[in-house]
Amino acid sequence: MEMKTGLECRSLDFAWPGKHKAARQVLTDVSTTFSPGTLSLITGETGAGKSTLLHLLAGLLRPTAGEVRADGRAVSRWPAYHRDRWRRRVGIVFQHLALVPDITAAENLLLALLPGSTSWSGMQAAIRRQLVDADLADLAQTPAGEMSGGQRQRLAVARAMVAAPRFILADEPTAFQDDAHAIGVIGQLRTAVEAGAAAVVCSQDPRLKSSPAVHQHYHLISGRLHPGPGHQDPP
Amino acid sequence: MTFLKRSYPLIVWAAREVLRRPGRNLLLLACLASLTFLVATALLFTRALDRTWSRLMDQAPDLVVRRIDAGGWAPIPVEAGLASASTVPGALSPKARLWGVVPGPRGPVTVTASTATIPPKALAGLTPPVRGQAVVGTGVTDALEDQRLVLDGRTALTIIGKFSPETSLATHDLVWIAPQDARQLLGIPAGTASDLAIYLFHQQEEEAIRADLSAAFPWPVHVSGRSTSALRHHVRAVRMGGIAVVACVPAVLAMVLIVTGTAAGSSSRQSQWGLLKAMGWTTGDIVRLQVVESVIVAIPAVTFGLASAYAVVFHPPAAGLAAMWITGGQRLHELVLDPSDAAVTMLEIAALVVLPYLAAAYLATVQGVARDPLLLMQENPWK
Amino acid sequence: MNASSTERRREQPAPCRKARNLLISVVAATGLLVFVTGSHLLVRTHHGQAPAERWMQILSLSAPALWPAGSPRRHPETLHPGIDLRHAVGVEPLP
Repeated sequence: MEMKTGLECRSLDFAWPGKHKAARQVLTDVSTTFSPGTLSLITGETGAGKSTLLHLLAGLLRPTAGEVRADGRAVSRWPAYHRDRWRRRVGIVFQHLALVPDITAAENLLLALLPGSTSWSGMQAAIRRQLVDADLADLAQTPAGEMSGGQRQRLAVARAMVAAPRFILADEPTAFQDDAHAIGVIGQLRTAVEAGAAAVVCSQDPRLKSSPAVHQHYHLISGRLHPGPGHQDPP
Repeated sequence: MTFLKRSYPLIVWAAREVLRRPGRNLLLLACLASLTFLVATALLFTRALDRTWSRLMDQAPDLVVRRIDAGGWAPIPVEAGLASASTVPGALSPKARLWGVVPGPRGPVTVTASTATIPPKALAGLTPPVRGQAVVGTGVTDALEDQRLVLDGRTALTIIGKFSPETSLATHDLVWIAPQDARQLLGIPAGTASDLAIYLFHQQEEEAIRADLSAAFPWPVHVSGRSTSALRHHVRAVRMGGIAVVACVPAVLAMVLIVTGTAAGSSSRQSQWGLLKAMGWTTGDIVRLQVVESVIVAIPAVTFGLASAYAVVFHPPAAGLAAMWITGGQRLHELVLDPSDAAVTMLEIAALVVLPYLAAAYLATVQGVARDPLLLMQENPWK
Repeated sequence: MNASSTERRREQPAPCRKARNLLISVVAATGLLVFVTGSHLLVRTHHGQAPAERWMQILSLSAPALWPAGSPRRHPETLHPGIDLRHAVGVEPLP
């Protein structure tokens, strides 16, 4: 039976393998739970390891110690095939966006839906809805490479949300947004969270820090995760 | 149907991926089509020639008996010869043949006469020639400007009909004349024939019957069998097949180039594959995408190559040109191919062209995708 | 109903129209080539060399006319076993 406990880190360690056996320790003993229905914000200085933590939560990297559990299952210990399949339930917004520049905005969203078992018309409907939510409906046929930075970022957020993921991991999702669009992005995250998703956002954006939509605040210092100001323990 | 419905989005996206790199895929298509064309032309031609030959030779006499004397070949007495041949068990329908090779207007021609009654339906509009007349093949009429044919520099005949071009594999150099004209032209006295044509009940008994036949005649005879000439042809066909194999060497080298190019092309796509894995695509999904993409390019290429090879081998005038090029000068018309031969050729093409190409796409992708997604996304194709 | 389904198709944000057209073209072209070639092959197999085979049988010809009449390959039964063909240009050695 699947326990809906959200995303959990248990004594997570990570070090980049270095040359001449000089490994660089990035994260040390990170333990916390990101519950369903909550939006968690992780702040920290540049190079603190925020992106690395997100990549570990997404199963894109394996921890050197500890484990990542999703709804009670130790996904970080799974073989590659099962982790890849599990990632269909994860929506990731990369810091560098990682869009495919020569295909259209809608086709970038299509890539996230193709591995699922949705029908073609179902995929089109989901893409249409997400583009409207991201205020990109007019740019559906525009190649991603021809969009502005802010538009591409909203597209990356839309791509993360289009498959109605259970876990949302976003790295600086509002960095290039004006206030109005930043509020829009935060609204999208809140809607997903209210539908039962567990969202983890890494950002230095003060608009996120002060947003009432954020339930839990964390601060990453020297590879260790500490509760930030305004942090509330999960229910 | 459910499988197609489920696979439809992936197939559409594979087609989209093909369109993302139109130049490369067009070049790949051209290379595959050319390679298929070269290999298929050689294979189809060899097989078609073999099949056509076999079907024609099935109609030829199983054994031919020629009388030998001290001076060489000698006419064979018809009555005595037929009587001797009839005594051999297994030898059916011995038939006296009146034929020979004489100089024609532009080289030697085969002269033949038939004493048997031919059903009108078989004549296909032709009239059996009487004295002074001839029915000629297309290779003989090409050299003529009017309806007169002069053989051996002295015998003039009037052409009353021409064998149709579709029979040219049998009648190309043939001149069908009346028996009296044939005897005069070939110097064969009345009551004798050039040789005897014999058909066998069981072709497997040929060697045994050959010995019996030789012993049955009261004069020295030479018995030649269909299998001898068939064997000769098969030797030739094998030799041509060998030439085809040699011709395949540049084709194989081209294939190696395509395969390595396909493999190399995958390294530049690794960062995209990493992104796909990050979005939930498994290795199997990505491999399926690559294979479908390769199939979308390969199928029309191979089909076009096969169809072009078929046209070149069977459709005149391209077939004539191809035949002259491959055989070094013989004109061949209307080759045939059995569906089973075509199926075998298609399987050979699949093994020589399609499978290595798809295997390259499959293996290159499997190897390229077998890393953590983040490492793939960080892959720099220029490294 | 038809108009609304057409409108829905037109409004697809990621229709991949060119890709679908490519698939249709590939299937159609391949099918057409296979059909034409296959039909031609079946017709040829049936009709094929029937006229030539008929004349081979009627005139009891020993071999097809693949080589010129003066060549021993054209009339192999005329090759005398006592004749040495090793020095004959263009003549294949007997098996």
